[in-house]
Formats: sequence, structure tokens, C-alpha cells
Amino acid sequence: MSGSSIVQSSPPTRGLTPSRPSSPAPRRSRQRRELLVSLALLAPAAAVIVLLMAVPLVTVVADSFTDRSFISPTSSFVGFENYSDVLTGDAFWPTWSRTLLWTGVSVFFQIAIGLAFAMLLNQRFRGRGGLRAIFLLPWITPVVVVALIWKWMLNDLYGIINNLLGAVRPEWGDLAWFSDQSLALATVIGVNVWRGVPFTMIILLAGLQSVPGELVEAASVDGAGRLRTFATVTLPHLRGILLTVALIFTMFNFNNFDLIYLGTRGGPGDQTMILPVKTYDVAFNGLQVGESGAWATLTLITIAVIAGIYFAYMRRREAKH
Amino acid sequence: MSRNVRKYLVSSMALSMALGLTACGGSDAAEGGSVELEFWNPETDPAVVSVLEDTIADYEAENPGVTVNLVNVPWADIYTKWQTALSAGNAPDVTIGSAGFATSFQAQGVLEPLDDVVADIGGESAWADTASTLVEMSKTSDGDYFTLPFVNNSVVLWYSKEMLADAGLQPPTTWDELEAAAAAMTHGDQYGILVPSSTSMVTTQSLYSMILSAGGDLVDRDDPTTVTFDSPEAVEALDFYSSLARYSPPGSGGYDRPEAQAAMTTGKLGMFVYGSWMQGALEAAGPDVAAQFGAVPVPTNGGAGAFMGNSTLMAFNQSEHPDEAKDFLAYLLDPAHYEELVLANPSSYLPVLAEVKTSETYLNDEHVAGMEELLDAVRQTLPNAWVFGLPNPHAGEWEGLNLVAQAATAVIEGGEDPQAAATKVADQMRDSIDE
Repeated sequence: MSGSSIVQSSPPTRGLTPSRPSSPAPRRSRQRRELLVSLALLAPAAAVIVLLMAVPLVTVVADSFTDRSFISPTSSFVGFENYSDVLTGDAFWPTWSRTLLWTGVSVFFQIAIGLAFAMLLNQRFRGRGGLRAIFLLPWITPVVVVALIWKWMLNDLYGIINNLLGAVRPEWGDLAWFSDQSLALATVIGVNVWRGVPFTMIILLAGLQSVPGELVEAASVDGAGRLRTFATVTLPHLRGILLTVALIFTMFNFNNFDLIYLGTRGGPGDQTMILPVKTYDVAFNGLQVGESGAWATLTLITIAVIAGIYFAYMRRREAKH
Repeated sequence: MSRNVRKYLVSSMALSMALGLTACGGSDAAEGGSVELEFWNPETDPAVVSVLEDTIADYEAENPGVTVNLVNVPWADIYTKWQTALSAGNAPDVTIGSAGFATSFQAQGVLEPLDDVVADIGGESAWADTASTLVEMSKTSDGDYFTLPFVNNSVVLWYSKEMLADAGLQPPTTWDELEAAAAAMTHGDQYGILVPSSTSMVTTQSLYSMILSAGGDLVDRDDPTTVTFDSPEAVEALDFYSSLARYSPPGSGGYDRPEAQAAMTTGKLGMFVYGSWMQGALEAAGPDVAAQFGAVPVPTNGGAGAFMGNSTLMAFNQSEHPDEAKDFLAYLLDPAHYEELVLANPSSYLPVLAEVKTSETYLNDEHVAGMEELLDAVRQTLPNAWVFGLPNPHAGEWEGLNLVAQAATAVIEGGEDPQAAATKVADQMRDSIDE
């Protein structure tokens, strides 16, 4: 049989043997098989990504071009109407700029205070471990509890902080932290900073511990003061971590929903209204799914631009070094 | 390919296919000759859920071929879940809802007519006189029921008996008396009245009650597409409500329901225009706290009534078993089971059935007898009380967005002119109707 002679004349190869290169046909078939195996191995992860991320994202963007609402079971394509309504309405630009302000101020103080605490906890002193654990408490406390604790402590009628302030100056006891037009945004930013600082502190503490001690000592021997040592030795070592923390916290704060929703629901008026809360409000209180899709997409574009600027900066920085 | 890799591949394919199938399709309940009804309930109070479970067990025992699946979906989520289920074609057979939601669904044409159920429970005479307004809201202009009254309640004027007595005053019945009482009870760290100005339900319910008491409303009830929130009566109510804010705690702009109810338990507040359902929170704070408060109908200024809270029953016309669904709804309104339900939470659930409203076991129930003054104030209010924004089918949307509360926030917190704030909100309502 010709077939058997073929088998005998060219035995099948198992694995790659450099001394005996396989013919192009079996190699192609093996490559195809390996490709199929790779695709099959990737399938579960791809399915999860598609179902849990891509489908909702595409749905939201698609909805933003329709007049879909929870009031009506039918909807129709409206083109860019939702976008033009949102962009030309009274609410978008104040909300957009407030979200940037909320994000910028929160990130700045979360990092600045986190760094200060990290430097404190980087010193050697008795009880340092216990203090680190205590400092983590705000971060591990659920947001709903954080919001309620602060709302109760700062209540004008029965809040402990207001009671203490009232003992110092009676009018301070009446301060309506979460509902006064001039205080509300600062108050929620303050609570947000309080909650975020432990996390930045832990990351920056890890960064500080990687700063070579001999460099700090050398700077000290050369006569550099603490501030100069910090500026010329510590800070340059932390720059990469600081940028990463800044990006993570920018994303985290920009997309923050729960703290403001639980604390003020965007009020008083719209004084603390930020994009994620507004998007939710339009969808689930106003029942306008299409319009909320436009809000969500514009939020996504904004955060994508911020992330794009960050990555471009990082690439330039890496290229320089 | 090793055996481990092959095993992994098989599992991963199976997982992918399972995920795909989960995403792509729903599931049909196997029926096996019996009837399965899905019943959605937004009431989360464990006592109420327990009564509903008992009622279902009794119904299933009496109707061996029918199974009722109780699905508890909180009020905050139920509207979107209804709509999603309707779009997917798998809406529940029956559900507890409200007159506002039912009006919206009726406009969409997705409800089963329920006249048969009313006939089953004894016709129009089955309803209590205190349910008369809710009964009218449950019918089309032709008199056909698209939803069934289940329970109702109303906003009243809560007052501190001790603080009012210290001021030497009687419970106010007019706006002038209300303002005089608020002024008299405001001194030191004590405030005469709680006037919420947050953009929240608590503000919506309080202000809407004042609008009704001034003879205004959000829409013309005979021509519901005509918005009247910027009419002189409604603007006068907004102006008066806002002027009372000077007797309210400074943080009232941040109070939603929990904060407002907690504020009432501090002993620092004289009055509050709010729902009878607050009784539960006052009792939870202690029997002595609840005993400090009395209740009367909301003081009037030419109008009458207050915000009406309610639950109604609905059946969706997607149901494959409309007869069984209606039979079950009639069973929910069977007086024996129904009385147990209203006794689970008497300050929130005033009976809509005449037989239960006048039953001795109901009236002599210790809890009901203990809140007679409150229930009496609600009973006086109910004939004129009104469900927010009805009969406009967009009322639920306006309520969800707290549009009315937005006007109060704008005036009290933002210092806007009441007429301008009302017109701005009224225009938003008109826009939503036009859309």
C-alpha cells in the first residue's frame, strides 16, 4: 500500500526537532491547532469581558442615540438629539466643571495628606504598627457607614461635632454642613479626602520604604536639610508611584457615586451634583434611559481624555529616561 | 494535546456556552398542567411579607392547581424592573403597585381590566368611604378599573403636645394659625416647624400637601395635560412654605426621610407636615417619644387635602393566566386575610374595604386603638387627599425627579423668586408631557 510506504518513509515527528525540520504542511496544521487551542483557552475570559463590560458599554452608547425611557416599552433612533439637549442644557457644564473640581481637590489632598502620614509612619517609634492599622479604618469602613457617620456627627440638631463647636461659639453649632450652599461641596470633599487618605498613605509608605537609606544618609552627610533631602532624594524616587496613585485616584474620584449620593444626593440644589450622580438621577429618577446614556458617554469621553493625557505624559517621560 | 489541556478546553467551552446562553435567553417555567402565578411585592416590612406569605399558602391550599411565587422587589427598584420585564415579555402576572404607576401603565396599555374582581368582592359598596378618591383614581374615564385600591394613608400635621401647650395654643387649622404657632414655638435651640428644603421625597410630600391645602395642584384634574404648578394658588403655597423655613432647623436643606424623622425624636421640633407613616419611626424611638406627638389634618388656606400615600393591585395583560390572576387579586381583598395585612402596619395601611374599616376586631386592636388621634386625622384628610400629580401619567416621573422639591430648594436655599422657581419647574413638566 502506498500509504504504508509513505508512513515508513517519513515517520511522524513529535515536537520540534531542530535536526529534522518538519515539512510545511504539518507545521501549518500544528500552527492552526495551536491557534485554536489558544483561542479556546482565551474564550472564557473573552466571554466574561464581552458580557460584563463590552455589552453594557455598547448598550449604553447605543441607548444614547435613542429616546428610550422606562416610561415607554418602545423607543426610536433620535441621532445626536440627546447629546445636543445635554450639551446645550443648563446642567451639563456646571456639573462637568464641578466634577473636575471635586476630582482635582480630592486627589490633591488625598495625596498630600497621605504622603504626610506616610512619612510620619515611616519613622521608627513605639506603636507604629497599631497606628498604621488605625489609620486604615476609614478606608475599610463601607461607604454607606462613612456617609451616615458624618451626616450624624455633623447634624445641626444632634451632631456631636456641632455640639462641640456650639460650646465654643453658639452659631457654629448651627452650621449645616451638608445643606448650606457654601459649605456642602467642601464638606463632601472633606469626607472623601478622609476616606481616601489611608489608601494613598499605604501605597506611598511602600514607596518610601523603597527609597535607599544610604542616599538619604549621604544627603544628610552632605549637609542637606530635611526639606532638601525630601525634595531632591525622596520625591524623585516617589514620582512614578505618585503619578500612578494620581491616575488611580483621579479615576476613582471622577467616577465616585456612592459618597455623594448617600451624603447629599447632589444637593442642596445642584451644589454637589457630579456626573455619575446626575447620570443615575436622569436614568432612575427621571426614567430617561436615552438621555442618561448621553450623560454616561460624555462622562466616559472626559475620563478617557484625562487617562489619554496621563499615558501620553508617561510615555514621553519614559522616552526621556 | 495533554489530557489536562483537553479537560480545560472542554470546561472552558462549556463555560463560554453557558455564559452565552445565560445572556441570550430567558427561561420558561415548566408548568406540568398546573398554573404558576408570579406576584411582585414592593413592601419590605417583614410583618407585611409574612402576612402575604400566609395568604398565599392559604390560597394555594384552597386552589390546588395554582402556585403563587412571591417576589419581593423594593419600591426603589420596582418601576424599572416592571418596565424591563414588560419589554422582555415576562412581566409578573400580578403585582402590588400604586395609583401613580398604574396610571402610567394604563397609558401604555399594558394592564388587564379588573372590573370582574370588583364584582367578585361585592361591587362598589365593598369600598370604604375613606377610599373614595383612590377608587376614582383607579378607574378610566369610562368607569373601568385598571387597578384596585389596596391601602392608603395621608400626610397630616404632626405637633408636639407639650411645646404647643407651653405656647398656650391649640393645634392650628389655618395657615395663619400655623405660622403663629411656628413663631411661638421657635426660641433657644427649639424650632417651631420642620420645613425640609432638600431635593427629596420628604420635601415633595410636605410641599405638595401645602399646595393642595391652598386649593392648587400640579395639573388641572379635568384636563391633566395642563400644568398648574405655576398657578397663583401653587405659587402662594410655595411662597408660604418657604417663608416658614425661618422657623426650621438650619440643616433642613439636607434632611431626607431618615434625618427628618430622627430630628422629630430630639424633642426640639414643634410641628411637621408629614405622613402618618412616621408613627412607626416614633414608636421605634420609644413609646414615650410617640406619645409626645398629636396629629391633625394639614391646616388649610382655601383648599383641602394632603398628599395621599397608597398601594394598589395590578395585573399585566401579558399574563397567560388572567382568570387565575384576577381570582388571586380577589383573594388578597378577602376581608379575613386583608384585616391581618392592615393590622401589620396600621399607621401606613388604612383599610380600603368598608367591612374591615368598621370591623370590631380591627377597631379594637390594641395598636389601632392606641393611635386613634392619628388615624382620625388621616380619615378626615383622605376624602380630599390626592395622589401626587394624578391624573397625569407623567406624575411618577416628576415625583422621581423631585421636581416640586426642586422649586422649594431653589427658593429656600437659592433665594429664587417663588413665581420664577415655580414657572421653571412647571416648564420642565410641560416639556416632559410634550416629549
